[in-house]
Amino acid sequence: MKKLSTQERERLYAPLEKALHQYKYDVAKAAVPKGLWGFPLNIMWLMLFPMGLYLLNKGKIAGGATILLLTGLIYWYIRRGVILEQIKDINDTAKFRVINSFIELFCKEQNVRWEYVTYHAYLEFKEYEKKHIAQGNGMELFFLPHEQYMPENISEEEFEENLKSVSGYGRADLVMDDIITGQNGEVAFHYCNVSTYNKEYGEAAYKGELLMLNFKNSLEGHLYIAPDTLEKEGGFLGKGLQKSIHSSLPFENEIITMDSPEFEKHYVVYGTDKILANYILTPTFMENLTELAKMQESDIYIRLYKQWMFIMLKNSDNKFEFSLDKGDVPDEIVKMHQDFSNLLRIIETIDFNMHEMNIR
Amino acid sequence: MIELFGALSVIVLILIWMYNFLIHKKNEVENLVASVDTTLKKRFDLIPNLVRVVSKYMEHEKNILEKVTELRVQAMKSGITQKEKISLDQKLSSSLGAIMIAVESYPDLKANENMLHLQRILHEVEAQIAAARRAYNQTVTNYNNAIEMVPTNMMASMMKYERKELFSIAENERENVSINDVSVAS
Repeated sequence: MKKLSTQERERLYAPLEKALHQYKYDVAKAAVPKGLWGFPLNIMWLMLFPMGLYLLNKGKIAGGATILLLTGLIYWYIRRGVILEQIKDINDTAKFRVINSFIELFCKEQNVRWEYVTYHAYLEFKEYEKKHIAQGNGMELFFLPHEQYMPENISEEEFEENLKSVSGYGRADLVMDDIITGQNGEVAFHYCNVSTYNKEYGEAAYKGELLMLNFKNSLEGHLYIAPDTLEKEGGFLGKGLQKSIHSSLPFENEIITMDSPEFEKHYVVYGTDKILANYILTPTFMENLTELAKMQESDIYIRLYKQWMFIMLKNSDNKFEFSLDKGDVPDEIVKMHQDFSNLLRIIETIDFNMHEMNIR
Repeated sequence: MIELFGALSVIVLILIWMYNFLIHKKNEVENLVASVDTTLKKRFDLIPNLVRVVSKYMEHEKNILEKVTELRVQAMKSGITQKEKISLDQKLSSSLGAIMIAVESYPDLKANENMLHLQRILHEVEAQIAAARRAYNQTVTNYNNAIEMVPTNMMASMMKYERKELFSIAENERENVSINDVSVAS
């Protein structure tokens, strides 16, 4: 990863900081009630307020006070509604702008070409189709609803099968958010946060980061790599259990023992062909995956089939999110930068750019 | 009496398990031998083309080319032992490596389209052979462990199983080929 000096970073991120300050200012400004006129309740409020004053003036204290109280409640209700609506709009719009600005800056900083896609746009645009919102500076930003997200060049069945293999959940059960796509040499990648949020499984049932890599050439077999938790925890008995699990995988396979003891400590490999497994899992690639396992505090699941490699980092982190209402602007920039840098580090560690990995 | 029968049954079951276990290991090695042979054959098929292309340019390396051709003939002979096969594979690998280094001294040959194509295929085939060797070595290591470790070593000795040779893996086989050099194998 490219290292920047503090001054360089400050200079590069100054516009973003300005945008974030603007966002905070917009939110604060939204607290001032606007658009009260023209709203039916406003007419009621305007009629009731003088009426209450009139009754008080006439000595009808109870009636006047009740009407004034009602007026106050209507005013509060209108004000709250307007503020909430405006803050929500500002939030949605600002988040898009901020993340888009950020990725644009990050691409400049790291000299990578990534795109950011999010499903949030459908809240703003109320559309269920891909919508381009910005283009330029070597980037194309577009939003689309998560339900429709699926990379190109993959059939629905294949996508579903790969997703189930690495997460245990199908497409209908998972929400995909903060989708980032890009190209690393010859290999196209798609990254997103996945969770079972808002689904029948409940919010915290499953969370993870999914990295999907699309290769030019196609594999002639299957390879499935999972954390070696069972053997690590259960020793001989665990190994026996692993064998029973592999029979439930959606393809014919066997457990393949690799020639790297360090890799074997972290992963178990299931595959259709020992030579194919050794062909893909070169010593260097195994070193990279071992490094990834050490670097990430996540369980890592990998499925290789045809032209696709699906890598699931199962963790509870919520990446590419920020809460500007609570945190300081510099803190949020640091957090966002960490998230992007972490993704870049994963990509660089796996080094799937075919200089380190063979696909036949 | 029942205890004796029970103990004998357990011993017989253990013997059957050990026998099947060793047969399984032996068959795994034999399967891998067949797969290694298939990948090695890809290299043998490539050698005549390679020799034909480079011999037009390489005047001073005739002996290397003759050596490669001779090694190919020997390696393709039927009935050679696994030990001989491994030794020939090592010699062939180093001779082909020498040819590829020599190619660097011939700019015309280096730029020749046929040569570039052959280099790409050879690179890919070498990567497949490297994978096959590693898979073979892992399987043979499991087999060798099984015939040398207690208690299966006793059964292995009765079955006259012997240690098998491993391929030596060159350090440069840790490096990988670029996607540009890779072709989709059939």
